[in-house]
Amino acid sequence: MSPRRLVALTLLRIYRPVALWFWVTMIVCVAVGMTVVSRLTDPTFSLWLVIAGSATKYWLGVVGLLLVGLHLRQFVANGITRHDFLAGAALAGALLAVLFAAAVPLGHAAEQLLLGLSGPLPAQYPTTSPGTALREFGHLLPAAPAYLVAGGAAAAGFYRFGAWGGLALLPIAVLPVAAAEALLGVDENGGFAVRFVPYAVAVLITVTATALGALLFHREVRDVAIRRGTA
Amino acid sequence: MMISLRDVTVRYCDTVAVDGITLDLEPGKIYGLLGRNGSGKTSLLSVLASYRRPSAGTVTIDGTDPFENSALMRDTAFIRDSLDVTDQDRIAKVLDVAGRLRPTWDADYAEHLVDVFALEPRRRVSALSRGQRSSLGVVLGLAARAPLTILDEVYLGMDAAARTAFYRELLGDYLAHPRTIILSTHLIEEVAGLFEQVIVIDRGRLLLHEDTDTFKARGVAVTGPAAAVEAFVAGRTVLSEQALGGVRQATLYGALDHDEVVRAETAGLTLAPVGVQDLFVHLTSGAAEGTPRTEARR
Repeated sequence: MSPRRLVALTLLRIYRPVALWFWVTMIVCVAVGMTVVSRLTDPTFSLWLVIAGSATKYWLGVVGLLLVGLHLRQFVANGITRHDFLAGAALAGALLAVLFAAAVPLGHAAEQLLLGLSGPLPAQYPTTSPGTALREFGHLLPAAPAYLVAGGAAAAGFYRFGAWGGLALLPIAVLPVAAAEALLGVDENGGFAVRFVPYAVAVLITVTATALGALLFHREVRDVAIRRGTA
Repeated sequence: MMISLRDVTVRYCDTVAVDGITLDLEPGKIYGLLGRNGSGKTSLLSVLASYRRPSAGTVTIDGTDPFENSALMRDTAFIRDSLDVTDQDRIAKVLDVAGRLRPTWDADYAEHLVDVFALEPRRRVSALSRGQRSSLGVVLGLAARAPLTILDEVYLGMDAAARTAFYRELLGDYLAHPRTIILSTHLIEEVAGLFEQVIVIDRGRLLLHEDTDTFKARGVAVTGPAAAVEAFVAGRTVLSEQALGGVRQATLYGALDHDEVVRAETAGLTLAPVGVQDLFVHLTSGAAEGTPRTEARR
């Protein structure tokens, strides 16, 4: 097996139980929250979209932060090159982004189904359909890697260049997140509206910013010294 | 794997940790890397293990730069005293990750070592004592069976029994699976018996690199009647002296030639080899300022 596939599989194995806890927590929180809300009033929003639509991206951002601080030295200490680590992390990240982006519209559909079982759907509730599901997926798919890359690039900046160097690079590192949030963000009702520019342009700008962030991440890590302890 | 370092320098801002070291390490030997605190041992080992690039100079393993070389990095295991594992992980998970990533990993041997060091696989790394963390480092270093195994102060906090077990396992596994092992240590006298070659660095520079026997021959312990010892050592570099009743022992720096040995024996003196630690202390304490720094460079 190639080292990068080995890294990807090992990372996925490491994060499998963490992801499981994450999704179980989300499902429980949304189930309890939506039950309470629907008892008090007719919900005009999807709690699942509000919470899961944002939390999935933040979760990937945290994984990005941990890649360098926690895992880089662990993998290098086991004979993995920095390059193979980055390539493997990219593979694992891409797979997680697709799965997480798909989980949000699926959860929305499940939420709607459960609401429907308890009575007629509230008039203002943002119902889902194949079209809206595709839109939700299409918004999250470019946004999720943006968070992952931004987390990685930001952490790597501090890891390599210390506090001041990391701070100086932070604006570039968070550029993918800024693009994704500005152009593909979730509104207060959990809606995935296109802002400022057409969807295709928004995706293009976000993907370009993510590629820039990934380039920065690679430059920061490709020959970085492996520090002692957690950075 | 033949390791060659040429004029390797490691700098941290204005501090020079390793200063132009040139060194050749033949494969299949146990090397003892000795040096005082801050002498540059860990920086040198970090460069060897591709944990950092040298600021200047070159490192090659079998003629190839090991930095970011998948095959060579896979064949290198570098265990630092700080342990490069995730503190929140349980021991079993740490070993599982190592087993997945290292093609030469011996899971049965790792299990054996876990038993030897009485480690509890379900315990988290953060809950381990200093000595247990070191034991985990030994498990990771030895079970990896990497052709180049570098152990940097891995004994820290280990009690005498654990250290003895470590030395026994290291030697046993080395004999069963010969490879290049570099041991950095301050417990010189305890480990000296394992070294085939000794490398001494001081203030970032190579002081000497030679066979352990040759190194030991740099000094001699002279024991006998106090007066005879006093007469014999006059004008020589005395590293240490001990006296008990009328018997005195003096540790001398510098080998004796044939005539001197005969003269000592005629005077009723007994000659014995000197401990590696005594010589190391002498060489690095500043007492040997007159000794050429690279006189035994290989």
